Amino acid sequence: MSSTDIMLIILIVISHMLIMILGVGLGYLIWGRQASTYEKPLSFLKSQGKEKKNNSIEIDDTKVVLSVSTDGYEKKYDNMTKETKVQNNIASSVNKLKSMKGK
Amino acid sequence: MIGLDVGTSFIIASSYDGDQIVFKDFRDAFYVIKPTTPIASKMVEKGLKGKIFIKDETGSFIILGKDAIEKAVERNETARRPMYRGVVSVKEKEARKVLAYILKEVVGKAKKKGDKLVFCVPAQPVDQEDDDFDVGYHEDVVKSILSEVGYDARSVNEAEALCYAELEDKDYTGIGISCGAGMTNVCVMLNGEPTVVFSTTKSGDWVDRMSAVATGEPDSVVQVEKEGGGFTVGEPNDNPVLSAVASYYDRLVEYTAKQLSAALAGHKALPKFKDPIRIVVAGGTSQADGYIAKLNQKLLESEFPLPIEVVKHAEDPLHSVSKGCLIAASILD
Repeated sequence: MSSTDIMLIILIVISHMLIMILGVGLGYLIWGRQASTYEKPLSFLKSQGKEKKNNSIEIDDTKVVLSVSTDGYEKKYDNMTKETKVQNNIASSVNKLKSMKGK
Repeated sequence: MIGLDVGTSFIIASSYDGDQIVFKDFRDAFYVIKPTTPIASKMVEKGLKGKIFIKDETGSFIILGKDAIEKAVERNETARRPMYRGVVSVKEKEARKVLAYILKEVVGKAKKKGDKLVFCVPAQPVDQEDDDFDVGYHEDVVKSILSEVGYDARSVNEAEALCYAELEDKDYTGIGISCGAGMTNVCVMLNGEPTVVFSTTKSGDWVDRMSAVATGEPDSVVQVEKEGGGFTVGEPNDNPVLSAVASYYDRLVEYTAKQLSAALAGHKALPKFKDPIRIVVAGGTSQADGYIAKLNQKLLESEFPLPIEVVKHAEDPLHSVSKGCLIAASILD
């Protein structure tokens, strides 16, 4: 191999490296800043299925009240409760509370 | 219009009947008998004649109310409760069904759709943090059952209802303490407005359970003996069951007074009362001999943070809360 050939190879290598560095530099200038706004996954494996918590959205986890059917019961008695009657003495209480509560 | 006290031990409905108020009481208890053969089923049904009971789709007999307690005692067992510590039990599916049945039977169908009904609910306890204690769920379950029979049902705090029934002559200013079977509920009221409400989870059932453990008897047996009277809170008794009951009652009163004082001392919402206040006490547990005097004594000993005018028993301790609910329903109109 002549010295001219060696010089030519070195020139080609250096020019390729320069083009690559220019490409990286241009790429950073055009896309670099935009790319930095995206959140990078911590690692490929760890990022799978692991979403960031959003505390402002809550699910209603109070117990659901389901209808309670009593149709299957067969009544076997006449009267269930014990009854007591007293004179109605709450009219004044109702009126007083109504006026106090502005009704 | 109906007022409804949904208690652990009693369900009491009140309504107007001309110039009178009618109270309908029902013991909140049940006992299940599961016959194994058709012949046994017939025998059991015959034996239950005259008792209050229902038969379910599986052929089991569910004895209700006072009869359930009697049957349980007869068999040396304990009757079950549709509610536990003042609220519907989340885990007990059968109990919820029985409670729904009892509630529907006690209040009956609404005369017209949307009839007003006010029922009582307990306050959040200060001495227990438990997922099973869910006042919101209890309230929703009761509301849903009552709406099925046509009522527009709303809730009121149990001790607040008691204040409505008992503090009229004090311009609705004072303290109401409702001593039920499952809980003790407290409301501090100022001019008709509840300012502090809370509850404790120890009451009559605690006395029964502890006395049952001490004497080796079932809870139901202790309950029947206790309700028969013949003892004074904190005083010795010849009957071993009543002796245990009297002793545990004394501890219960002391505990309640201490919790009351601790909960109110330094409470930000506690009003500055200008006069000594009346404390009115109701509920089945408060009916034991010596209960009121002992509570008064223990409140003074525990440095209750407010000056007390008097600790007074409600005029009708079993019906006061239901009456208060009826007053609340009448105000809604």
